[in-house]
Amino acid sequence: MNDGSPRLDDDGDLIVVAVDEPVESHRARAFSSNAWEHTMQAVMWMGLGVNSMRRFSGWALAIATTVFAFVGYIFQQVIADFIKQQPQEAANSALKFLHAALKFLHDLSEQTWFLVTASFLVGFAAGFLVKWLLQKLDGSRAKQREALADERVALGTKMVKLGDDLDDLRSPIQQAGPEIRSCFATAKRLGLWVPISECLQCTLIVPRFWLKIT
Amino acid sequence: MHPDRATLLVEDYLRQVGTLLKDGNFSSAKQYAKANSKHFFDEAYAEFNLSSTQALSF
Repeated sequence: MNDGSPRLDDDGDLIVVAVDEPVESHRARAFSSNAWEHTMQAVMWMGLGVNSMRRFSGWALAIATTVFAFVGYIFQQVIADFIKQQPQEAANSALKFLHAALKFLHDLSEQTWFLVTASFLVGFAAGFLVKWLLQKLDGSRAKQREALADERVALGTKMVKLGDDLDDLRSPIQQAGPEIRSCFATAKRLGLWVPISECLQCTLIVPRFWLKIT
Repeated sequence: MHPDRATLLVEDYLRQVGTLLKDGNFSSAKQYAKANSKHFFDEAYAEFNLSSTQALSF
């Protein structure tokens, strides 16, 4: 039994022992890893995971389907009521046509096969519509994020260059004042702390130091 | 204090924050500006007996 202490030979040298681990333990570890992944996928599919976009999509689809089913039910009731109220022998030919068309739709809606097929097709169409909408929303957000990241990198490049250029100037603050203010204004807009805040258009704080000194 | 101190403060801000932004580390840049740069500027304010409000309202 190995008690955790290093094993030494007669000369006091450390004995290194290569241990063959049974293949079964590797298999068990791989299985448990796969099982964990499947569990997490199932949890995410149910909307309990961290994929907020998928969760939102699921919720949006469920709400859209419920609303559509509710509206369809009300519409069916209204049509039924309309058919009962309007006599078959209406004087107006347009009204007669409307009556016949609505009666046909009403009769059709009472067929089980039609309800099942219509529900399936409407659900399919709603799913595609929601997916398309979400992809469009996500795409525009991704573009915004990309533009923001580019702007940050561009500002960083400009700031580093300006910082290097200050060394070559005799009166850096006076000579490069507009560029510095421009950098600070952009940095502030991006949410960074800057040495000047609400008085960006007036001056830098640095001339204040200058005045104190001179 | 030498007048270059003011320039050094601005230079440090531009270089450090700029490098972090350039490398895509926005959070670190924000943290550096809020913690380190602000600290340096506040020290300078204190040295000249200026409050940040006074300095800003110049």
